[in-house]
Amino acid sequence: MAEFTTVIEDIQNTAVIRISGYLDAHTAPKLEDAFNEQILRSQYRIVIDFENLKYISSAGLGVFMAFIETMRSNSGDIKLAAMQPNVFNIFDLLGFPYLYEIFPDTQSAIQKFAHNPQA
Amino acid sequence: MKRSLTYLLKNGKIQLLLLSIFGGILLKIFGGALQYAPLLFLGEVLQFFIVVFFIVNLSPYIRKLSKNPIALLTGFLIAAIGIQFVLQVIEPLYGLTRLGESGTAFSVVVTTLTHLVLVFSSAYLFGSLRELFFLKQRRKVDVQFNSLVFFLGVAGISAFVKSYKGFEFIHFTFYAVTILLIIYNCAKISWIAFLSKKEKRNVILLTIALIFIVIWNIILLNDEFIEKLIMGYSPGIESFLFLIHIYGLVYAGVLFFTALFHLPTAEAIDRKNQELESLQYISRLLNQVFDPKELASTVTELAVSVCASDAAWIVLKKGNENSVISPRNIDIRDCESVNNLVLELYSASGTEIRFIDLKENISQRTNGIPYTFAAVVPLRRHNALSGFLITTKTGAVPFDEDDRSTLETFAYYVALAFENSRLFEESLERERLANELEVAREMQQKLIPASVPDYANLEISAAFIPAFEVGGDYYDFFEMADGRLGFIVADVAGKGISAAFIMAELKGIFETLSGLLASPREILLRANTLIRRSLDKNQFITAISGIADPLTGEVILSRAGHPPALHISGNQISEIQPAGYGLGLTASAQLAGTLVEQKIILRKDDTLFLFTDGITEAMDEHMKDFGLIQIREILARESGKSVKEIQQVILHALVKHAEGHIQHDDITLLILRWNKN
Repeated sequence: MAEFTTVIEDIQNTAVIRISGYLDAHTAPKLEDAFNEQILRSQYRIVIDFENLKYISSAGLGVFMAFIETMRSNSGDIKLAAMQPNVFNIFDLLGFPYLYEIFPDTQSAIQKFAHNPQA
Repeated sequence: MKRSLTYLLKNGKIQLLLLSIFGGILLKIFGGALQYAPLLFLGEVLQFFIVVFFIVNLSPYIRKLSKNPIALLTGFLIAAIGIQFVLQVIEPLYGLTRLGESGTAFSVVVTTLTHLVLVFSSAYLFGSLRELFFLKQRRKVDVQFNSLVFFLGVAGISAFVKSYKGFEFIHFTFYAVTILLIIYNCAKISWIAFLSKKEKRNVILLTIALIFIVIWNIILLNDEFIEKLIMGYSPGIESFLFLIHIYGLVYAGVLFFTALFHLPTAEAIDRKNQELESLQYISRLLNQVFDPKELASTVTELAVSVCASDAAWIVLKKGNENSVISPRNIDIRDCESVNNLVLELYSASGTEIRFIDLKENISQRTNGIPYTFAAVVPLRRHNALSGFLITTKTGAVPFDEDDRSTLETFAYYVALAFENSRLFEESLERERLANELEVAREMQQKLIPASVPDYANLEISAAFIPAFEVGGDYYDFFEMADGRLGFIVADVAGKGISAAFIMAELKGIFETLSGLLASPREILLRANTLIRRSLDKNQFITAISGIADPLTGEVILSRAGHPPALHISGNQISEIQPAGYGLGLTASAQLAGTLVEQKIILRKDDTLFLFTDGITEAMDEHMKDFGLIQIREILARESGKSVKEIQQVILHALVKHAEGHIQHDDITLLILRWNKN
């Protein structure tokens, strides 16, 4: 059974969600829970750290889509960072770079929030 | 009644009885006159037979009462009262008719009738005593009772020797043994333990009445006139009457004291029985009730009755939240308030039952309801806390250790019942899903083209392998009016029936748009607008839409987030990946800013290969995917072969790669080769 974990860290008024393992239909709910937790805390500035993510399926992609509107309409955003090449490829194929800001590392994503309070 | 009478008549039973009675009378007259022993003996045998006749024919009626000792005792009492009545009227009756020891026909008839009534009643007494003896006996005690019956019979039959000097001891011995056996058989009366407190009290009252009547009967039987009268009729009957009354007296006496000693513990036993019944009831529930709501309602009802408490409810834990369900004898709002208080005071790890004293917090936190004590019972499943059963009392009596052990057993059954209910729901869910998949599969089959179009210069091959859980792949062809071929390969994110529905809609949209628009980019943009309405927030579709011209080898296509098309020319492979992201992500106006259309020129024997990510992402047992690189290698290698052959090779390699691993996503591939000069 594929494993998936989320670790949340608050840095500079942003929630950094570090995800690792395999993100698919079975494990997607865990990520959904993490997003919902942030919404309950009124935290709408999210950076996702993809460094340890090995695989993502369309169900996993769907999770980001489900929450992006909520975050953006509350002056926040979901920024994606530190993707492995194969994962980036999937996002790229899908055309996500047109819709989401993708950064090579989490620091630059956090900085983007800092410089641009309105995301 | 009428039916049994005719039955008796038909059976010849009544005839038999009458015969014996007359026989007895005759023998009495002649035997008595002649004092001839054998005749007297024969007379006694006939009397014995009459007694047995009554006993045998009464026993089915008495047996109907066999489960009800109080009814048996009452019947016994009534029969004894009947005997009392006869004994009372015997003397005045004789006085009235001025009959003494004279042997007139009339006196014989009257004597016989009175004695028949006495015999009938004592046969009923005997029958009742027998049923009572066998009540709730667990071991085989036939031998005990039958020896008593034997000696009773023998004592009766031998009674007539009393008038013969020197032979009295025979009768006396049997008589004595019978009395000993009576005492032995009455030594233990165990059925009293099973009665409720109220029934035990009634038994005591009945036995008092019984003892009173039986003693009075015995006194009357000892009366000189009566004794002489009955002895004169039949000594055996006299012995039988007497012994039966002794039996009745001893039995009633023992019963009285037994019941008396059982009285103090009666209430505790009642309660234990009720607990046992409740536990039996709930264990039956395990097999019957699967609806969680109904189960919760029954559990709270039982909790209140088992603990003699006032209110009960169940708390379910879901993550960090507690939800109160099924409040019994308490309003839901009051319940939530009291619940918060109780759980605060509980503050234990959720592994043990705790009794909580609420007296200090009354009315403030309990919304004015005077609860004094609460019992909190954790419900555990798979070694984790799934909730609590809470029951509360008013009044001064706290929960005790008996309650604790009952609640522990109760909680175990309750947890089991909820688990059962959950498993049942899961199996229903699985069945529902399986059915859903069936429907989705059928739908998908109908959406995929049954055959590939046939063009002179265009070789087409298509393969579609659905995943077990029905992924969202779809491909289609559209033969346009100008002779060109429209095609689409699409992948709806998601599985099951919802993906199948989207596919169905997409098919309709594609067919319509292909007839109206000649630009794949336009088709995708329009499709985006139309399909967005049906998609969930987290759903999207990737697709490649294209139009191929069989005459010129020109292909225009547009790609919405889909894996690239591969163009194989000789052994050159290029990835066709025009810009564009998936459908359903944004409004078409925004998509239009990114989505482009690309034109490819196919030379002779060039191949165009389209696929969905089900292929590239097919995993082997080591979770390694098949990958684009492998596809490219195969295509380069096999480029000379026909499209059908290429397809076979790829699928073959795919099967080999994914051996032992379940296919998670639909696999679709579409190969076009242009072979016109």
